[in-house]
Amino acid sequence: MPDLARLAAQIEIAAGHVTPYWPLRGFIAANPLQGLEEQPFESAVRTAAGLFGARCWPSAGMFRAALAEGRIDPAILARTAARHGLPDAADPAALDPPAALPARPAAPSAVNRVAIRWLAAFLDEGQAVWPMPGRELGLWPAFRRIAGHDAEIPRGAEAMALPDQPLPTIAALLDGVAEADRTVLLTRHLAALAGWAGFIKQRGRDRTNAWAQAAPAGLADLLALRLFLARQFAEPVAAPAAPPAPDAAPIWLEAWEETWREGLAARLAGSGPAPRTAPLAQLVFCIDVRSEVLRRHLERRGPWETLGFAGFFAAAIAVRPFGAEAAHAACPVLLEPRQVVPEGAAPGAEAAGEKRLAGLARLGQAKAGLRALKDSVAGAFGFVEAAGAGFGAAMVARTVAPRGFAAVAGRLAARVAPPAPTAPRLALACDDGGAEPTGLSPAEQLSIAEAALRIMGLTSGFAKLVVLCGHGGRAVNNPFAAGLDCGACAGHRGGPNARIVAAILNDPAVRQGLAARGIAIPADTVFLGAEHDTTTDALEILDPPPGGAQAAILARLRGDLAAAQRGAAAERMARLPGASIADPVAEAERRGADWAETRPEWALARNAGFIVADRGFTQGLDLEGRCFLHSYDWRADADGTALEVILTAPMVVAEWINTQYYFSTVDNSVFGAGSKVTHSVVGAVGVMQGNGSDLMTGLPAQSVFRADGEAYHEPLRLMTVVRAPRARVEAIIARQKILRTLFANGWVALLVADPETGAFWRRNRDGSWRATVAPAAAPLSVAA
Amino acid sequence: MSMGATDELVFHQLKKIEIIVRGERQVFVRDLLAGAGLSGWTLIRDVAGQGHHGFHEGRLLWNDQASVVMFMAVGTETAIRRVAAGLKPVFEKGSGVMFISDTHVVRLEHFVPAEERG
Amino acid sequence: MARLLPPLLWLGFGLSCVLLALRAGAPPVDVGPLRIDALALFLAAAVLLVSAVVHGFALRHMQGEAGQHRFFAKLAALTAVALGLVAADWLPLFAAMWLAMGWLLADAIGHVQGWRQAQAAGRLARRWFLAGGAALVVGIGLLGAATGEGRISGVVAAAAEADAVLVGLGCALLALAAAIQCGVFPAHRWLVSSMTAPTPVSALMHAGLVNAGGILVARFAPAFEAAPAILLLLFALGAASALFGALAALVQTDVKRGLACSTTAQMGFMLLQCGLGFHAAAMAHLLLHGLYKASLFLGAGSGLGAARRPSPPAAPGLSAALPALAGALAMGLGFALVSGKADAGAGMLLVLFAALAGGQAGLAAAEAGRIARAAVPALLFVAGMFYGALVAGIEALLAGTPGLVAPQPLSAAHVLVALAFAGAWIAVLAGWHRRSAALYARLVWLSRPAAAAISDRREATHA
Repeated sequence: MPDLARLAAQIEIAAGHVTPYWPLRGFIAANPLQGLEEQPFESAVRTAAGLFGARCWPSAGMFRAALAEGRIDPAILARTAARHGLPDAADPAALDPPAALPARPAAPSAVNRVAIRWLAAFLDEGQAVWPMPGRELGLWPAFRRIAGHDAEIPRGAEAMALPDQPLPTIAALLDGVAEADRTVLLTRHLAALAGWAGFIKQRGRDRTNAWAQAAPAGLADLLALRLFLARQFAEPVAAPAAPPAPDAAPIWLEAWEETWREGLAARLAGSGPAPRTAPLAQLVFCIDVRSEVLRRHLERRGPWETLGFAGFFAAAIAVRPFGAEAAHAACPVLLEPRQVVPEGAAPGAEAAGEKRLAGLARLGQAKAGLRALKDSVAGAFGFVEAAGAGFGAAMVARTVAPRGFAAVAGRLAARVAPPAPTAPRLALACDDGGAEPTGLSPAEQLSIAEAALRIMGLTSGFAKLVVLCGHGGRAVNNPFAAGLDCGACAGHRGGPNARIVAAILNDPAVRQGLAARGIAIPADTVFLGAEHDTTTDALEILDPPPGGAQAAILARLRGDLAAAQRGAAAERMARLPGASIADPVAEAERRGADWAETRPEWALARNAGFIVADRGFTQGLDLEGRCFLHSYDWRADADGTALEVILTAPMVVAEWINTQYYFSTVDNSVFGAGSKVTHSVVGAVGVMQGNGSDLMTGLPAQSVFRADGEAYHEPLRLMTVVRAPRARVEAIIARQKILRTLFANGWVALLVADPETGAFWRRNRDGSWRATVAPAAAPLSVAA
Repeated sequence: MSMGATDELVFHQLKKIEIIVRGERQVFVRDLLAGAGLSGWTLIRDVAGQGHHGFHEGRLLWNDQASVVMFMAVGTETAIRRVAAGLKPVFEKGSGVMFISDTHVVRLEHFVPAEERG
Repeated sequence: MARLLPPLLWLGFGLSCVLLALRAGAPPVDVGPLRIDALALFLAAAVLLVSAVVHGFALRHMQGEAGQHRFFAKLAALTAVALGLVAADWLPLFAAMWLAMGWLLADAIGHVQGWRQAQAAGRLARRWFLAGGAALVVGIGLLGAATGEGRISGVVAAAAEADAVLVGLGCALLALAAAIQCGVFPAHRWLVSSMTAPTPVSALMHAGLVNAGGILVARFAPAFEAAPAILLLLFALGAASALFGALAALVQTDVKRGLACSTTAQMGFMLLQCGLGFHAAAMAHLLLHGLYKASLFLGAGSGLGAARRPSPPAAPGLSAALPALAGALAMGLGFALVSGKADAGAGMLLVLFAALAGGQAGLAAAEAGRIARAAVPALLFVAGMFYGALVAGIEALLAGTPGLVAPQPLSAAHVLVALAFAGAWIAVLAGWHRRSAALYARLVWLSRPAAAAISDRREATHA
């Protein structure tokens, strides 16, 4: 038995290299090298290259293009090369691989092939009408029972001679493997189909996942299955050959990063504080890089102040949308949602709500009926003939007039299920049918309200109108649609969170509590929940419009929002390939409604910076949608509490996003999802390539490439900019291991703009600091 | 096993293990405890930073995985040995500590399955 | 350049529709090696419609993909070859178009360069198509030799009087070529291994090019009718494929492979219709299934759907029997009344399939409210009439082409197949299939893609 416990530990260690994969229902970014963050970037990518057979640095072509386009400054490149003692590395010839690239060795793997077949069958979440038998027993036991029926496995029936539990099976199959070699062997097996392994890891952790209970699987099951197959096919699990990385690559990447970072620092240093007039309204956007574009266009147009804050607005909750069967997490995956907040019909609109629910139920029945007809063993033939013309008409309409089709389909759906005003049901209640109470206690509401205001630094100077803007994207016929939604809401639309927190902040009891804690919100300040549609840059106010003084402010705001939408859409359409820019808003709407579109928007492509500062620090700068902006008032946070939260959570999420973009760009086959045009959705959880493959994790090629071989995303590691006294930042880094890991290992760079001295400091990896760019835009020497 | 009885109160000697790990290892520890037959345990969340950099009471963090949790479990020496054997290799590779100590319980049936009590 | 294609294709579609309407009953016109008759115009319209949609879709969908010029050249060439095929009358031209179609299609399956598995899938398809092409060439040769004719129109006119053995052998070879082109069981391996093709190619393939098998049989219909044994064989093959494909589709977890299994089933059904002598009905199926399947392939990215719960579907209780029966009767009756299939020999089978669809829809309605339940049979009756009218209308349109409606007499084999389908339907509804893990594994195994076409290593997915 202690042997089995030791084996479990070896599996746990091997599993450290597996990055969890979340089903595409809610898109979660993750660093594919998550398990290697404890190592310096350079050695982590060396390990990963060997483990996954991946390219981990930008290609020579990307570097050359960046140099040709001026995105790598030759002077910085030469300086960086000299500093590393490799002056020749600045020569583009140094990027050429030392020898002719050997073809990637890829002996066909029967183990992978058979494993893909049964993993796709076992992990299915409702695509197959007839699921794999025996799933309730677990992955290894179910596979063990069916292996004898798989004609490709030479002696599949032998599985029945092995134990029914995965650990004893692994122990039996590892018999003869030296103790010291076991972890390496297990690691390679898990890395061989890293996507499927990552999905098993994620669902195993999620104890609320109904599918994980109906079909339980752990990485031990996967290893038992693979070790059995490896023995059957006598197939050793070899490390894939890593593509060679030229020694110049790290230097070129650093030069590319420094070109952008020094440019940003110079611009930040050069921008003076904007003259502040009392704003008519404050709009709080998500830190998402896409918010910056709309914020900039809106601020130009009127007396509007904008702030940036993690789009879950400090409410670590799960949300159950109106009419939905189940709740979904609506907070960063770093957090377990603590409470469920259901959406209900708005007070006074109960009848409309009932009507909508009935309509939604009818739509659901119609969809289920349609699906049953499509899948019917004998009924599908007549159905296809009787309904073919209808399918054909819809197909023509969707292709020829995507926007028109979307409008008509929307109207029809609204006929059957007329939209009804909804409102979050905040108060604690037990009437939801579930065993657990829903809603938030008064204390929880107060704590969310206080955390939100303090961390965003909005504790005084409230405008009459404060709009909290969640965000979501728009895409049809796109398995990656959730990737356009809010990462801080676990890859869901952020509107519900905005409404919930706005309702909390409007609550008189909460305001009383806040006043007692030193935050006085004027009685005539109204909070509204809204949602920023990042595909079209429309901003929809979700809460009912207020009366009084706010009505006039809102009317003016709507006008400026429409103008800002036009400006922001025009700016973004110009960057999208194949976009017509005659009417940018119409083009944006087309992209969001077109079933043929693979790039509805660029989402977070080109992200490179994370700025923690008051808006005055960045105001007026065109940051090109490349920076996460988190509001922070260094004056109101003497002990660094708020900054510590910002750096350990939103920054960590930004790092996950940034590394996902980086690795999806440098090797889209291994770390990305490949091209959308050859995807097939599998198991209602993800996509495979072609006729079957690993579960494709990461971003599809279309999300990071403008065209084949032509990257749009610039693979730069994140630089965090903090406007706060350097000593405060240092103290926080000293307290938080995760920050030391990220900064010291080169996963994230750090620039501190000390407001007390006006100096800009870059943190070196060893923890020392170097002064960087002064307002005179010229790069200074970078002696370490 | 008994330490002496007064008022029908019997102290049964068992082993206690306290495990302090990063939040991301929670599932592994749970499975390990279950595998050793320890179906009951106590979990204390957010012991973040304790012992290293002072006591950060009430510090709000939004990162469960980076925080530190403590498990407490009680069982026979055999069961606790199994758990420790599983933890040792993991702690050698990463962070985490465990403390094993002698302890006493009153209601033995809550901690040791019937078939092992004999 | 590629931008000009969709408008051109739409223009062609409109033109063929107009010509079809104007010349529905008129005698065919021979233009050199081509014959422009109702069937040719009808099929040209179908090909152009799907091709226009696919081209329009692909222009946006393939934005930024490598080798776009190659891609659109292939797509346009496939369209041109398909048009040539439906109008070819001269036997060598028909064979040449057939071979060119196979070659181009295999090429499109392996479109993505540097992807080993795509090349393997393309090679697999090419091997199957070459085998089918060889069967076609020999079959056409035999028919030509037997009748002494060099044109399809001549062959079919003379087939009844020609040497029965030669005609039978020729038709058997044509049936083989058709089966391979349709990807029916057991010649479906190339079809379920073809998902390396970009989505628009799959749409064009499943909506258009697999249908060429049905077109082949319809073109040579009078020859097949001179060889009733081969027709019966075609019927049996079609029925087997329809049942296999429908069952295999149940176990698929991958959206596109599920669609491929459905195509294997639907193509089987089309050949079954041909085997019954209802070639015109098969042409109706070809068009309607083409629209259906192209729509599902182009929309395959929607497969994520809403979150589903892991509860297994409950078998419908006895209370569902009445709505199911009512639905079946209503739809079957509506179809029979308008299409007239109940009176035409084995046409009863087509009525049965309409009724089974009605029965399934009736079951769905059993879940709905009382009012819906009452309205559904009436709606299904109308749907049945609509369906019947479509089939009858297309039959009428194609009346000018000989031999397209030649119902075979009802035989024991037909009854057996009818019983098999009704039985399978009830068995699956009752959930009896779930008891057999062996059957499940067998279906997974039989519907697997070729080993070399599976991307078993991620680092080698796209080099």
